[in-house]
Amino acid sequence: MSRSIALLLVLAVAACGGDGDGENTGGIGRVDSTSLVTIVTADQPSVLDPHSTSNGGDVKVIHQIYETLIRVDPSDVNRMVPALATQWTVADDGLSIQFQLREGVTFHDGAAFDAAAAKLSLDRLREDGFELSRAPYKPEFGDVAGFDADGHTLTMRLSSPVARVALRNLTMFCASIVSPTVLEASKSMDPDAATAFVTDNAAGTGGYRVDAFDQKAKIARLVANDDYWNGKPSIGTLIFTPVSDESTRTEYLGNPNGHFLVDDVPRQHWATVESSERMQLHSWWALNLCYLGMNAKHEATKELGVRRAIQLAVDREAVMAHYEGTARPTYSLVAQPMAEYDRGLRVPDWDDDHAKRLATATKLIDEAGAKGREITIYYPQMPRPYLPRPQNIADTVRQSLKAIGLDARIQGEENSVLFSQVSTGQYELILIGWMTDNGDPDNFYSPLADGADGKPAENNTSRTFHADVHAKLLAARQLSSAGERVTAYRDVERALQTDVAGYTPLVNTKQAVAYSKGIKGFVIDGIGHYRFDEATLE
Amino acid sequence: MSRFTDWLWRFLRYHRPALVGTVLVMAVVLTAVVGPVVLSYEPDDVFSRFAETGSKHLLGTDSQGYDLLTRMVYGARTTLAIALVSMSMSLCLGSLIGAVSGFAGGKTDLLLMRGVDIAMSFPGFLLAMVAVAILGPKLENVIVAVGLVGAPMFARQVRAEVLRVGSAEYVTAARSQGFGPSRTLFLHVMPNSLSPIIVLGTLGMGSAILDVAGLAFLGLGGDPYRIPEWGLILTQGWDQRPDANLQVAVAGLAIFVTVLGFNLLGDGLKDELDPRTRRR
Repeated sequence: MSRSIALLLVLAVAACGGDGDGENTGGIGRVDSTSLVTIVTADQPSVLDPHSTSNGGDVKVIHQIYETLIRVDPSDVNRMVPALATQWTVADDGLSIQFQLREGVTFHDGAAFDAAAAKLSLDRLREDGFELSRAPYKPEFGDVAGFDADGHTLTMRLSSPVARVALRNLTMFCASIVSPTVLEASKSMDPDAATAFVTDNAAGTGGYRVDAFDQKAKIARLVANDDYWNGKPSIGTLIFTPVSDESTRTEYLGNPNGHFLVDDVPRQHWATVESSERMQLHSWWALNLCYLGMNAKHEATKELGVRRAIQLAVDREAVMAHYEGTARPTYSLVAQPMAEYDRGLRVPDWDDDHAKRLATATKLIDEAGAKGREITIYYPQMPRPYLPRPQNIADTVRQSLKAIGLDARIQGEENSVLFSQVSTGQYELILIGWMTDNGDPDNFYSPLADGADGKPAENNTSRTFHADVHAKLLAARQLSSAGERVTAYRDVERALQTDVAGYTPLVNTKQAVAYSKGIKGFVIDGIGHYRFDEATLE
Repeated sequence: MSRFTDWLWRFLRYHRPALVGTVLVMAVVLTAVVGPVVLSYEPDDVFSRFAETGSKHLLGTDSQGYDLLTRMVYGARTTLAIALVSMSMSLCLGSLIGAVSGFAGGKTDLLLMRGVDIAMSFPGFLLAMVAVAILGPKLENVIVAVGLVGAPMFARQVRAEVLRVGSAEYVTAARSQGFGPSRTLFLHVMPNSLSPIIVLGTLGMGSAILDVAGLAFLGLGGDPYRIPEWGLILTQGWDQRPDANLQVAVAGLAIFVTVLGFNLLGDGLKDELDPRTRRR
């Protein structure tokens, strides 16, 4: 219901743009339709506090309002480029990084940007001197000892030499710098009120500032920031409107009125967009993977032999058939576009053709005495970008398991239920995926295959902790040379797949956004984050 | 037996729609019983996806590479079984409530009938959706939900019959001989109230098939591949259009024909068993 209201609202806004009163448009008001882009997203924005959210709907808006010290290079996901920091140097011992910050930058509320302002935000996301109701990215900054601010020089102190990962983490939206005036004012509030306050008074340094945010309809209107350090953006207004229904979202692709960007376009429509006269498709190999998690603690999958057999049995070609040509087989936990993805890596027997692999796997199942064992593959009911047809893909995996003598069945769960199921270990096999936020291999291994204090991390599907793997990962985190990293992570991957066998990588997929051909020069990086501050309209 | 065949012959001769219904239902039942024996594939044998129709696959294969004809035939079996089980559930539960309500009268009657009224004030399908949403989208839950939702109709009908039969002389006679209430109810009242139950049961088969298919179409049917069921086959095809247009048509047609068959048969039985419309 709210979806259709939102739709009507946006159409009304777009339609009555230039003329008349336009008063009846909810909390959004009147806009100039000649310089407007409507961004149609699948997820709803609700919180504009970068330090206290992990919701995709929020992130897309946050990227326009706030900025980070450094960014991922839009043309090469393995490189980083300046943003609010103009340059940075890593100390020889690897235990500190010094940033030179951009001068003459002001926040939307008029506050000046300096090292003290940056420190305040970076402290807040780590809950250093602040209390947050949610601090989803705090663990990523566990190696940070603190920040020292001096004029426009910021020093980041680390407790171990993990500069590479630390820099990568600073490119994430959660490391966005929020106006110090707002943060100071929120300090005395209770955590929920503070987040609401930061949302209501959202002030960053980005190319756009919040003009209106209708919390009920979840529609955000942003307008160009006149004082943006890189020059006032050419596109005057951005409207973010959430449309969760796939087919309704698809209808925007044919909308002739105005300029649109449509996120999460279903794969079966990609070809239509590509041949469309009004819209164009930007697709790229995403930093993601879809994999089959295998619980080493569950009764049905406790034997290593059974898990190894499942690894060998899966038919990636058959799985790929469900992706309309937008997936490729992947053999490691690291996303394939990343420099650390090792194309040479194979676990023993993987190179055999599928029939031979099935024979080997069947033997392993027989040896484990698991023939005819009942085994359930859990899958999310709603599609994910890396899992477009969950039920069909789960069934295809089931077919492979049946072929090696297991009595496999599939069970769909509501997405939120399924994701929380991982941490409680209530599954034997789980069809799931991961998208990185920062493009570092550590962002795959630490959450998905490691843990701390002898316990597996929340999203570790093997549900086991391996001291050996943990040590290897700690060592790999400290490497900065590209060559050494490839070798180190190859070592980690091999150990994980042969000794732990807590997952089977399936495919790496493409992701796409569709946007009106009239939008030129908008920037989108390999992680899928886009900004409009350099874009123009034709 | 010969009395039954005589009756059947006369019934089918005079009720042409019922004849059509019987033929349709018999065809589906025959497919369900004999079909799997004749077929050369198992329902979960995997072939190439979306294979063309031809001598190898009469109706082609689906998005998962399963032979569509095989799954439709096995689907007939599951669809009929599911409908039969859920309809029987409605019948038993509904009859029990109706019989007790009609026979006991008084406060029990009032209480039970108001309950039935409340249940009937909601569209049945909506109630079934809510039930499945709460219980979880699994086939066994769908059966339970459809069974529960169908019960009030039976309760109403059986209560009316029990009230009618309850005042008959042979019931009074049984009572005066000192028979207890349960013996009177189950040996004298119920057997004489059967005909409307048979009619409702036949019509109930049709609506149960529709409800189960409808729930499956809304994604509340559970695992569509392990258990082939027409509603699930239809849903899967719908998701894979236009590649699976034939699948949608075949599954839709199968459901349509079966429901039509049961409804025609039920309508004919109603006319035949109702003393007011019965032909002589």
